[in-house]
Amino acid sequence: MSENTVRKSPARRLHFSHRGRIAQTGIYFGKLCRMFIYQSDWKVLPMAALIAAVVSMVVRNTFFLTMEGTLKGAFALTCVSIWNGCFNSIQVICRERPILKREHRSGLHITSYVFSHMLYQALLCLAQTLLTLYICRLMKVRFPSEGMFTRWMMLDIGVTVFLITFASDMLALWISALVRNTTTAMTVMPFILIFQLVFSGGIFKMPSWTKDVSRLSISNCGLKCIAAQADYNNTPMSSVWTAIKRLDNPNKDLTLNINPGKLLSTLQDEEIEPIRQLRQMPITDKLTVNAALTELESAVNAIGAEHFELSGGMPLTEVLTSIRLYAVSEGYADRRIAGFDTVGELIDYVLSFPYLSEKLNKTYKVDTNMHEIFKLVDENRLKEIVTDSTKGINYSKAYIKSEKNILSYWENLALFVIGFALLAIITLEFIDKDKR
Amino acid sequence: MLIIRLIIAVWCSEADVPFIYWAIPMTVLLTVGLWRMFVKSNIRPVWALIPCARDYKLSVSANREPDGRTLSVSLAVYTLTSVFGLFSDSLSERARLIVGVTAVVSFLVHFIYSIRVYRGLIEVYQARRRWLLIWVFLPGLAASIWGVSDRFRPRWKVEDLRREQKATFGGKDISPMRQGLTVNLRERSVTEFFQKKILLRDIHLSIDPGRMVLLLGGSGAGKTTFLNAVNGYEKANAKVMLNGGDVYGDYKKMKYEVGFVPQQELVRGKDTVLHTLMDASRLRLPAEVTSSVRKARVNEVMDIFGLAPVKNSLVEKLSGGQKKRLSIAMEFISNPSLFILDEPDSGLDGVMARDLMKELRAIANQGKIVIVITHTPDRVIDLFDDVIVLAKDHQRTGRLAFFGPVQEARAFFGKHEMEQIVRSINRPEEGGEGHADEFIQRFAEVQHV
Repeated sequence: MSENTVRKSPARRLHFSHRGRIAQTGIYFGKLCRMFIYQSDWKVLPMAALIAAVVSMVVRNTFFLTMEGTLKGAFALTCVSIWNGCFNSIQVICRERPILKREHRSGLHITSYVFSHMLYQALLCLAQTLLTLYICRLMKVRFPSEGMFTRWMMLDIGVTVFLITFASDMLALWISALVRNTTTAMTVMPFILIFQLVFSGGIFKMPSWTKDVSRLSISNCGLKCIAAQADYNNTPMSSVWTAIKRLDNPNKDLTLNINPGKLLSTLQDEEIEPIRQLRQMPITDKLTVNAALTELESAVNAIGAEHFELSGGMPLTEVLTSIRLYAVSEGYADRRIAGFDTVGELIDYVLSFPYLSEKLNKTYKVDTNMHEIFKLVDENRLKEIVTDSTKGINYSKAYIKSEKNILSYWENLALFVIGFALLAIITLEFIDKDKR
Repeated sequence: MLIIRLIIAVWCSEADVPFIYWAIPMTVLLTVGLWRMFVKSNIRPVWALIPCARDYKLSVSANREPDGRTLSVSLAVYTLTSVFGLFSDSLSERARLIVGVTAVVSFLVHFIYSIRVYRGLIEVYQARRRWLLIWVFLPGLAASIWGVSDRFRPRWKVEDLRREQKATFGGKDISPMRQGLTVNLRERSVTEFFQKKILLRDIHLSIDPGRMVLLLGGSGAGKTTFLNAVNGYEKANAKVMLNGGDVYGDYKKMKYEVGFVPQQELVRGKDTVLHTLMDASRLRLPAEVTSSVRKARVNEVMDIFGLAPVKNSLVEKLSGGQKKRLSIAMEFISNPSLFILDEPDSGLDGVMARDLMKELRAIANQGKIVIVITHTPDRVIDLFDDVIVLAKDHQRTGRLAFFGPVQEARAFFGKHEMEQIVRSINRPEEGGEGHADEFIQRFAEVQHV
């Protein structure tokens, strides 16, 4: 034993003050930073990068582009963040609980201990967020160009991802403070993840009474925030067009029941602008029955309906040819269609003529396939119409892209961070009650 | 007990027989059986009439009191959820879910804990293991047979634990010394499941500075509880004065005057020795101490405990002895007046353990009080000045059986070796001689005189 130990009188020593909470936070923050190297805590960073790569590979083609892709992407990004956050800290306290108990009895403030963890974990979460976004960019996830709060939307989403990761981190920190050992912590962990996954609210339809429970989940808040930032309400729904497009199949036989009378009747409705225009089209004086039949044949050929078989197996072209032959034999072929100034008048006349009306109001069966039907219409135009009409079809207030809405989500996530950190402090204040 | 009720309930509903026809005889059998069993175990038989409470009492008679708490609570919860279940049609979806999940969980908990208690019963009654199945599926039958038949007698009775207190004199308070440690511990108790349990009682002693004290006692005698009470970590009904300061009254300051080294090496394995000690010094030394003084103190402590050559090594790479030294060094860094060590030599070989004790002796020689618990006292007894002997009395409360110099202890107990002293105060079922009450009484009288 060395002789130069300075021994002060006990009475004097009692007047010394020991390090306060801020200084102790610094001491423990330094300790945690060293642990990052020695304890292999750094491994959570490559793990985060790997998870981000796998997820962005799946969502990159549709994220921010379609309604479903945006929701899936938001869900996936939220899950990645929660996963990263939870695994950062689920074991950090419980694995050194007896050590913490010893240090607490030696003067360590629990608040300092938790604050030092908060600081350290915040840096870890920030690094994971940056890595995740970088990997998303590498994997060519197309982020919208302009953000609401910063110049880049990627940065805006980065703030959300960071807050989700940090809130989950604090949740796991609290769990770690609550349980006595790492085995229990890792047993509880899947329940936490499943709870977050199920109550995220975006993917699974939940009973209405679970709404209150959903509000307690980080995933619910995070998913809504990312979806709002991605302007979910104004992205087109892709599933409708995908479902329609799947029908474009030459092997998909189809039998259509056509009633020409009903079809012509629809051409009497002048409330509809295109029909009104059609009805007002003039008929030239020189139009003969023969010429009209020729126009009809070319129209049938143009739409590829020449092989359409009417009931009885007779193709449409043959029906037209029969009519022509009948007209020629009866001497009507060169007769002018007179007395009608417009197409509308002709249609009305045809439908008012009892003999024709009777024939036209019969239902004829037409055997075709879906591919033939698709050929009748312009695919790009149809896609455009479907895409435009599905925008906002799933409109929800929760996904409104507004500064107020997104800031409220950020506030909620920040409240989660503070709440779980406080719970961790309160829980650890009872560490002295642990059984020996 | 629940499982058989469940089976019968299902059978009754299938066979269209009112459940009550079976429930009443089963309950009567169980009640009568438990009544008789409680009589045998010296438990008031009237408890057999009270559901939930009788499950707890049954577990007490099975020497499974902690399991009995869970058993009775889970049964109470299950019964409550069953009552709610009767009105399930009028409950909301959310309430039905909560009630259903709670019922399933409480049923499973009750099932598992009832098996634990029945196993305890089988041990206490020294019955064959096959009885476990009968207890699980036909508890009324098992209880009635065990209660009525004279073949089934418990090995020990609850009365053994709860005998009337003897009027033993416990000593009186000692006046605090200006220097040194004075302990006047009247009672240290805990309350578990509405029951007060006294862990320590009537320990009055004073230790002069510079003394190295051995704390002896059998397993469960309350050694660690006593040390925790002395250093103020687990407060008791006591007055502990250290060098004129009140440890309880001014705990925030006084805790730096007490160094407590736990049994395990509670040090982070992934940090270096130097950083561990530097952090310990920043935490334990006063804030006014400058960085250079702190570093000097860390270097000094490393020299004292032979840690300088490994200062840059990770703690996990150290040998068992080095880890122990580091653990002690962390507490010693604040230069405490009272140094308490809980089995510092556990896991060390004889030579290393003696070297460590010599270092502790050197610390005591500096005018500090060193209190050590060790389970191999005889190889280092020459290094100690005093010995404290704690023993469990007939109520299993830790009491002071002796405090004084080592030589006087030998004379008092009539034993030369410390391990023989421990054996003399240990209970017969622990392999001891069972003289604890006798020595406690004698020492209390000697102390009073």
